[in-house]
Amino acid sequence: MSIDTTNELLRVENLSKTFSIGGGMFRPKLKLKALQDISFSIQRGETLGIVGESGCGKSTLGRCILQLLRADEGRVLWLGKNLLDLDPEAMRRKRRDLQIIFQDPQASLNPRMTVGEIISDPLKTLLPELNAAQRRQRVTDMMEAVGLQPEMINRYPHEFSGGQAQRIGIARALITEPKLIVCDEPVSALDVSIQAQILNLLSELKDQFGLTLIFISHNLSVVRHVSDRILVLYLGRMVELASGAQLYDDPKHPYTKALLTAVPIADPKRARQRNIDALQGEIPSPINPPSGCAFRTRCRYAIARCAEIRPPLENAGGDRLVACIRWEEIDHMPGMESAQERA
Amino acid sequence: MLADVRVETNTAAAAPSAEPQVGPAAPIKGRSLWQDAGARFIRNRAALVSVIVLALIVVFTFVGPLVAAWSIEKIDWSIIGMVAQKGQPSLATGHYFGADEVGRDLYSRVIQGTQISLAVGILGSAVAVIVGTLYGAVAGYFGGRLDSAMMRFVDIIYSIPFLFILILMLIMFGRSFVVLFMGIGLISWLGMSRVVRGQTLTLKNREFVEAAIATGVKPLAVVFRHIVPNLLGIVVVYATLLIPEIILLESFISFLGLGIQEPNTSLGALISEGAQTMQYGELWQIGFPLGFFVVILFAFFFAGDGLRDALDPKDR
Amino acid sequence: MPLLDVTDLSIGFHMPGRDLKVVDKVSFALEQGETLAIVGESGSGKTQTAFSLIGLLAQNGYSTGSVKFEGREILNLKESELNRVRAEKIAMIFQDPMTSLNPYIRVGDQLVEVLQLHKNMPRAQAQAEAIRMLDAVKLADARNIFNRYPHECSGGMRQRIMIAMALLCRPKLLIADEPTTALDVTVQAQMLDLFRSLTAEFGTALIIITHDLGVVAGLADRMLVMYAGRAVETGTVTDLFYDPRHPYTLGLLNSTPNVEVKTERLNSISGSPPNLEQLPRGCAFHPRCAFRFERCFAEVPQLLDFGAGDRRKACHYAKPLVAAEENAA
Repeated sequence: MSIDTTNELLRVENLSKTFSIGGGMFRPKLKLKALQDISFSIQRGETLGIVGESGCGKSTLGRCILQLLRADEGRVLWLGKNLLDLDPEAMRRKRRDLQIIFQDPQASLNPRMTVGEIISDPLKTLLPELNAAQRRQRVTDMMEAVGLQPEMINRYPHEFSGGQAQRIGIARALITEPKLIVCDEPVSALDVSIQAQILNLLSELKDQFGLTLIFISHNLSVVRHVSDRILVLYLGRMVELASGAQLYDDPKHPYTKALLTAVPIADPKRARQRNIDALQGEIPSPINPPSGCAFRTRCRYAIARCAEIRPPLENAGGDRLVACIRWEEIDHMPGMESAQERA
Repeated sequence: MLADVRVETNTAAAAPSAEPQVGPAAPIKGRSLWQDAGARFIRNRAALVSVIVLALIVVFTFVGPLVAAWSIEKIDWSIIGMVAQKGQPSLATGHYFGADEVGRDLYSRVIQGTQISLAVGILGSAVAVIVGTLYGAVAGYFGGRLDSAMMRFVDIIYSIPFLFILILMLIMFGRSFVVLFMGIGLISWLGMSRVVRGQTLTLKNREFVEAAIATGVKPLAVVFRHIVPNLLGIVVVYATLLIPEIILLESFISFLGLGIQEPNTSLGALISEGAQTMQYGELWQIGFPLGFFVVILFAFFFAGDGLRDALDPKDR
Repeated sequence: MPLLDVTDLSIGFHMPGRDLKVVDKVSFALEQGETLAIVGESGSGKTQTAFSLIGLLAQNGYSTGSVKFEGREILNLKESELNRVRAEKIAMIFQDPMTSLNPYIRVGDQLVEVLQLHKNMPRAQAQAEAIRMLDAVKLADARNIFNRYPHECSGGMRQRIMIAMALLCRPKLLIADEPTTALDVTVQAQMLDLFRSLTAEFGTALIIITHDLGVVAGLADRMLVMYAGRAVETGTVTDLFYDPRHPYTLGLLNSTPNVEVKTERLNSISGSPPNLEQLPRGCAFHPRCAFRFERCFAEVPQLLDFGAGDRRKACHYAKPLVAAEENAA
């Protein structure tokens, strides 16, 4: 496995996060293991997609990386330095390079501030040396870059549509010229046609500003479209990590396979032809996950051993990682041709 | 295939209220939520009338003394002992609202009473708002043990029988305006702090607060720049409804005879005096102060209700 | 005779100082056992259309036109009459399973209540029927679920309970408003499977409201595309997906990322949906349309039949939008 540390921007090592919930005077608090032992790295200029369903911990992971939540174990190395070791003031300075775009465009904008104030707020905090005129110039430039008319600078968030509000959120994230942006379901709350606009915009801005993105979403089609590599999470654990093409054309983990067959295809002829072998059961509760492999309760290939040990991440060729003790067997089973062979 | 036009936001499609382009780069004035609320408030007839009535009353307290024939203390010896017959409201004698039992002009006294009552109410409410909001916002935002400690402190003060303490204070330290004010102030901020804390708890989980943190804004700055402005809606409503409560409280104290000292007076004291002479048929002595009192209270209640409706975020 | 025949349905809301029209003369028909998808984005009026079919519009809403169910006019029926239609003939399930069930009443009791109200069933019989239906929606351990409270069930389970509740009285028509939007992908796949098998088993017609074209492709026979309150295209799903005749339909298809193929750039539709209070002159879609010409700026296109089969479009542009070769691919 080639580790190009010179170009490595972010490295996450053995990250774990547990929440204590509930409990009261007479009942003990319950432990919710939101993330367990997450490790990966991101190269400069790539887009890493993180996918999973509810309870997989993808949003928690995004926030742990940005130190909006504090991880319980592990390290988050940004350009070699562990962010968890930094004091609040030092971390604040680093925020100039690490930004976030939220899911709900309207909720992420302060309803009492104008667009101009919202976008210039990070400048006031992180680049205090700029004066008002310089800030204003940057704000209007950024508004144009994201496709907003600069004359709207004194308007309020509720006067904008969902797509435009999201552009404001993007402008705010970009204003300090960060190196890495975590996009937490940035298009999930938008209409399909607007989604496409925003995705195209993100792609252009990425090239224009030389950004590195972490793209979190539950929508596999969208993630495929934007990502170079994709990390699949299930119940807080890493399940598979591979490049986009590899993952979608030749998934190795049973969960990834099931996930891909579950995505509805916008093509009536293909949709009827598909052998929909819908995954049975529901996602287990993260408070009481199954022993061993978390996916075994819904996995058709589960054997006794799956309940005994947690599957380690194994190398499946190149940079691919799979967390399944039977992945090689499953790969060679009859009827398991990859999508390319099927087409 | 469908032409892929560069991401453009057309004026017609983009601006919710499509205004014609005013010059190449003239910023369009936004329509803030306050303005929206203001428009809704004005549509509420009862609230609008209430605000106008209150404004008129305030103007009256400034303009009224200019046409007063008597001061608040001067005794009209000519009607002493015969107030029931000669102390009635009349323009001729200069006692526009009549005279009280001791011969003083009721018109001037009512004006003064209104001034004092309003002042106590508004100032008291202002103190409560400032102290209560800051206290509640800090407790709510920082949470944890600080929050617990701060709110337990509030609970403790709340549990002290307030009226008892206030009366004790007034008796021990004398019946001055200052003591009364301090006593009322000590209590009124408590309710506000609870309300604000609750609202802060809701707000701090909103994504725009998270966004502010993510852009490195320091905690206190988050509280003042992001949380407090979004609290103002509920604070304003609560404050407007707190004013009549404080006026009622002060009036009660004065009614008991423990409030403002002579020759100053408040509406409560006037009502108290008026109640005692009702049996003599000198109904104007209770009528006028009570009338003002009731109108002021109703006006504040209606205005407060109107504000609450206007600021209701459900309408957004 | 079609099961449901909607003609010139218009819906508006009385607001302070003005009237807002959200649906403008929508017409469509549905046969027994058919599945129709109503597709559109926010502001298209699709949800209000569904609501008006069973009289669920808000207080200040009003509807005009004609909605005939089994030949009988049901639009603007009075409440008492409408209650006979609801649940027994037309049932509805909503988007958010969290808020659609009463949190204070056990699941089983909510189901039994429906049967007691509409079919006058004695409790024991209603209970057995309810459990049978919970089974039919593939809920494991139906008896156990019967005794649970809604918050003790997951989102997918609650959605199934809603479906069970809707089908209790064997309605002829089921309306589902974005039933899978709030669900995880794998649960959504199960749900779509369930819809397919239930509509086959009970012969229920289904109107599904959604913005997800993947769901439409896998489930619907026919579809109706709405934009800014108007119907812009109707026809079979195959027709619309392979030979769309309205630029908006084409735009929607192009905007949908395909999980099987990665494209460089998504062909989006420029601009945003219009403000219903200030619709452009002429065709509401023309500001975003690449096929527009002079007529589109002035004249509102009517929904007219064209071609073979039951196809209609509201567009002045007469030629096909997708080249014939691409069709064959």
